[in-house]
Amino acid sequence: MHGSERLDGADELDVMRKVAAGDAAAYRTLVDAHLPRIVRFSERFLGSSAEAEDVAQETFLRLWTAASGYEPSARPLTWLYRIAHNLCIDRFRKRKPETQVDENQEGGDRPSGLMMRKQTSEQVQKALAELPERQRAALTLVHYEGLPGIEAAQVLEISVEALESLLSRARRTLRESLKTLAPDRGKESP
Amino acid sequence: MTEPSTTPEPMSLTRFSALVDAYGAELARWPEMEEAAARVLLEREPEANRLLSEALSLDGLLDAYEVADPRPRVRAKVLEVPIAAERSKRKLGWRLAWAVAFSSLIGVVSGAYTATDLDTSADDEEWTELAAVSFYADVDLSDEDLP
Repeated sequence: MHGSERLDGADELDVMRKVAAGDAAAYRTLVDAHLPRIVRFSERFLGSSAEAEDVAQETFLRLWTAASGYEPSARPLTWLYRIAHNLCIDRFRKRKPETQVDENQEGGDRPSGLMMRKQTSEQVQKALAELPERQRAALTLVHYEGLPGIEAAQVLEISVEALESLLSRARRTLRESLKTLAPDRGKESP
Repeated sequence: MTEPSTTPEPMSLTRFSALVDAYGAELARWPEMEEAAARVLLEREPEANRLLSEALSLDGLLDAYEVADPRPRVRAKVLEVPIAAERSKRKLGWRLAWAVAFSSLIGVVSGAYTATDLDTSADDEEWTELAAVSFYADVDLSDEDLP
């Protein structure tokens, strides 16, 4: 994880107030703290780094222009994830079906090492892209971004119970779609 | 004041199964309040360990999907947002000023044109009058014809 990503809750609120007042230095602090997370989340959601970068740019533009409308009922990071999530959904729905995932991955001879990990990564990316939007968002926020359930639920504006249901369904579908990879490529049991 | 109990409420296997289904094998991802109870259950329940191992396999696969940190170029672009926003606000102000100036100019020009047009109308009226005069000039308007 990026070293400059830590920002305590109280500090974060203070920084947010300064951003709302047009303080560019405070804005820079928030960018350094949260940009990598927003890009990673968007890339996992959209499956495209170029689009993820566009979403991140738009997310921070909204932060700058609408910070005065921020209500501290949720952390600024949660608020940013929510903006990014909505932008991702807009983009995803505007896409043509064939551009959703890069499926140009043909298997040849049995790969090994780095190549195998790359192929696994691509298959997971594809399986993730095939999940319904909300399941994908829930899994990305909790599994990849490490958000506590309660914060992920705030981002998606649902209850924790609904989040857990989305996560269970997502993991069930992924277990099924990735079962050909599971026996020898997962982590070892403890 | 009594000390809060350090022993967590016991967790059922059903609840453990629901949590492992949702959050996977990494207990740090689980709701903080249920983590301790889950650890207690894991110590005494083999089935809980089996469920955790199953989930660990899927976690491992998911972790294989890594994405790189954003390129420095992206950070630079995002940091430019306030400058660009300020620039576009100023540009909008100028555009607005130009629009006002332009529409004022249009107003003046069209006003001048309309005034010229009114003069032409006056000329037209003069011509109508002259035509009428020349028409009546051909008619004999002697005094006896008049009422």
